[in-house]
Amino acid sequence: MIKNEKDSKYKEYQKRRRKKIQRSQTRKKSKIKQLRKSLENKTSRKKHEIKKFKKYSEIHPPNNFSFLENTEDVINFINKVESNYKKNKSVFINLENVEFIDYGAITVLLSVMTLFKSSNIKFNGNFPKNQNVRKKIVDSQFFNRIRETIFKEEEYTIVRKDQIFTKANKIVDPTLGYNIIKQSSETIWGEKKSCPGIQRVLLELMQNTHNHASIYPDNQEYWWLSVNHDPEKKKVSFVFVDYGQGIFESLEKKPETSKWYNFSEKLKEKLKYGNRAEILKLLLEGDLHMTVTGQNFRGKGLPGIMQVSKRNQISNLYIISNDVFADTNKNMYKMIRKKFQGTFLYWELCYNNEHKIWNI
Amino acid sequence: MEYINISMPKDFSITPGPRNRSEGDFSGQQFFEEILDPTFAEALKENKGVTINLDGTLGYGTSFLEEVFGGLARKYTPEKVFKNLIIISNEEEYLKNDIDNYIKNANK
Repeated sequence: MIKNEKDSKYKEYQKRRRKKIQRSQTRKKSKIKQLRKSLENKTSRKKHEIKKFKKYSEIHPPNNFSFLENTEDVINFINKVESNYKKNKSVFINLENVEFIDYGAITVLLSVMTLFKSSNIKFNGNFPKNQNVRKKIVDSQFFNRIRETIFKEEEYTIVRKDQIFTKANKIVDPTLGYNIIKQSSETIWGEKKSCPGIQRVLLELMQNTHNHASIYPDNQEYWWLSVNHDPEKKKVSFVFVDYGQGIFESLEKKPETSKWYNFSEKLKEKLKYGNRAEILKLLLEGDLHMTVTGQNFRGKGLPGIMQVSKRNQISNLYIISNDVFADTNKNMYKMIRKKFQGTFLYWELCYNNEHKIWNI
Repeated sequence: MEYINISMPKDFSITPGPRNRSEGDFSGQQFFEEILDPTFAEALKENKGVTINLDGTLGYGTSFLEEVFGGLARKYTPEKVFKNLIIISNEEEYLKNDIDNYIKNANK
């Protein structure tokens, strides 16, 4: 009787095992079938690419890969990449169908690639079909860097063609602006000019990242700066990004001892809609400081940057942080559906911006 | 009144930096501790004033200015600072007004 019982349990076990093996074989067959199907009508180069990167998570950026024009889709892309990073999973960025890319998106590509490769997580990508996009990404050194080994370092500098460069660091580097201002003014006005507004914006942003981006004081976040010259339009554009907490998450986590603690309660009467877009506007105008702390606005941090913009020392200032998008030039502050974990700023130095004699 | 002159680019740096030493080079804290505080103390002892020429640098972050001038007012009182300090800033005139505010609001 006991023997029979054992036999029947063993038979059950064998049956389950057979089924499991069968299922796994079916899955494998289906994967091979899928792979074969995906290789149909593909060039040999493409076939090689698909086979080589079959274990990578393939991520498609939006066709309009512009942080300013297509913010939500770009944030969606960043969030997908970030989720793979957290799981230590290799990613393949399929850039094939990208029709337009701006320097904001290029800075994002360079920063996530560095993050993956310096953490020993495999990262790769392919060339876009669109020739303009292809040129922009090639010029950014993205594909060169993909082939290199990247170690964890305090600072990264990626020098590109036409005085374009991207830099990452964790500290406030006051000397950073020296060459940037010298070269930018030569592109715009044909000679060295002093631009104290640019230096102030750089200092405020680096300091903000250093002091507020990370939840943990000992684990500083990187800031990324990308400078891009357009001699034809006599314009230099700047992109600054960090992947810290973002403006609002940072404010909301202030401890009881901080004057910013519970700031949203203190603001209630001032707000019409009560959303973060409205709060960002108040923050930039200096009103948030007055309402929450009861002190006069002293031009620090983000209000200091807005002040630089109002003094016509920079143009076209955009800010994206958490779920808020601001185009300060158009006085447009709006909520967005996707949340960006970090802070992104874009601004330009143009021919009509204020500048002084180089006296340094 | 006689004055002791400090030139930011000649005596400190053409690239003044963040607020504290821990944040990066050429900080406000460094300028205050190594240059402004000892000079101001010496000037007071000798019944002199201090002039600071801010021109000839790349520009200033707000935290640097607050640390330097707010810090001076916190140590010596805003009244003493207003009486004994002259700011020269021809390239960025608005800085004088900003600095006045940092001194006035130093203890808030």
